[in-house]
Amino acid sequence: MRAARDDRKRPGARRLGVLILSRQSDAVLETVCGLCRAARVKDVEVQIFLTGDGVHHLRDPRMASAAKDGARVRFCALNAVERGLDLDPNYPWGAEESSQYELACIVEGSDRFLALT
Amino acid sequence: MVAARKTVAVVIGCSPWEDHRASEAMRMALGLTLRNPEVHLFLLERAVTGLERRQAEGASGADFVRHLISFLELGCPVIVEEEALNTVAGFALDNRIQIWRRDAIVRFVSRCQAVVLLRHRISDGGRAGSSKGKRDPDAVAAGDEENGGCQIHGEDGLPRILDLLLRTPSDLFRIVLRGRAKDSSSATVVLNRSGPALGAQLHGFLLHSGGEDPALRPADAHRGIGHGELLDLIFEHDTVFCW
Repeated sequence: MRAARDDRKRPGARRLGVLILSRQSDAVLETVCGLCRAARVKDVEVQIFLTGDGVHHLRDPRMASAAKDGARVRFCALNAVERGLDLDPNYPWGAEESSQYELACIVEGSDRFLALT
Repeated sequence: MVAARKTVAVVIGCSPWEDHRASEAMRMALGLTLRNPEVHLFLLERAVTGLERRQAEGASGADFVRHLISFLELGCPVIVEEEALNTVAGFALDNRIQIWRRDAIVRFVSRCQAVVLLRHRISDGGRAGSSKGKRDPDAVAAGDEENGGCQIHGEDGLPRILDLLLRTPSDLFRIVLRGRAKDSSSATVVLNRSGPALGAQLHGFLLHSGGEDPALRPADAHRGIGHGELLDLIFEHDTVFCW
């Protein structure tokens, strides 16, 4: 069993929550990636949550890139299973299985929140 | 010590019978109440059709209604737009649902700390998802697709709102901007290459996210911004509306 990841914010850091609720355009995904790159040097913690059709972006290399830049990428496991993504051998592509409760925590714990619907 | 709860608004402007995102958003709104029982749900425009008496007309709409009923049973505030109610007949209006005028909704949402905005989708003419779109005459007139124009307006003490325009703006966007013009200070960022058609009705403020490539940065009076500056803008404002 994987140990729960520490969700406490670093002292002095700001936190940006990003919700992806549906399929997004390349321009939007590139912007999310760019924000993660910028966040790395500006002491901003980014938390991305994929839900609805947004879970299809799990296999998008830009999500892996965002995670490499320090973003924490989580997704609604129910939505992923509903869409058969768990049948892919690469599932979950390095992201964390999660729930709507975690999204509620992201919303409450973020200093700013982007909802990409 | 318990941190103060945020004021969270979930604003749905699309029909749950036509767009499955509405039921996803409704389920998400339910989930948000796990940390915040004061999540406000607003049904605007076509979303009010979710209150119509319909029989098994698609799983998505049925799920929406089921989640909406649960939301009401939790005692969470549900507000419908009065103007939208006038356009659709045959409602089953629960007496727990509040009816507000559009301008009151705009004022309230402008002061929320987190806003999930689900508007009616407008076709981007196939440009969404592609990094190579046709140049939009309106966008060119306002600046350039990959360059941009910038003006931030407003007064001190008012909520600072950043509108992040991801695709072609809807009527709802214009309505909200008009409605909050005097109550907030706002800036608009338009993602480059998504090419939304913008006109002068947007109070003339407009920024393009110009990417990190200096070659994309304009040399004229309009200004493109990179991701770092966009991130700064996000934190300089109180709330970000993604359209």
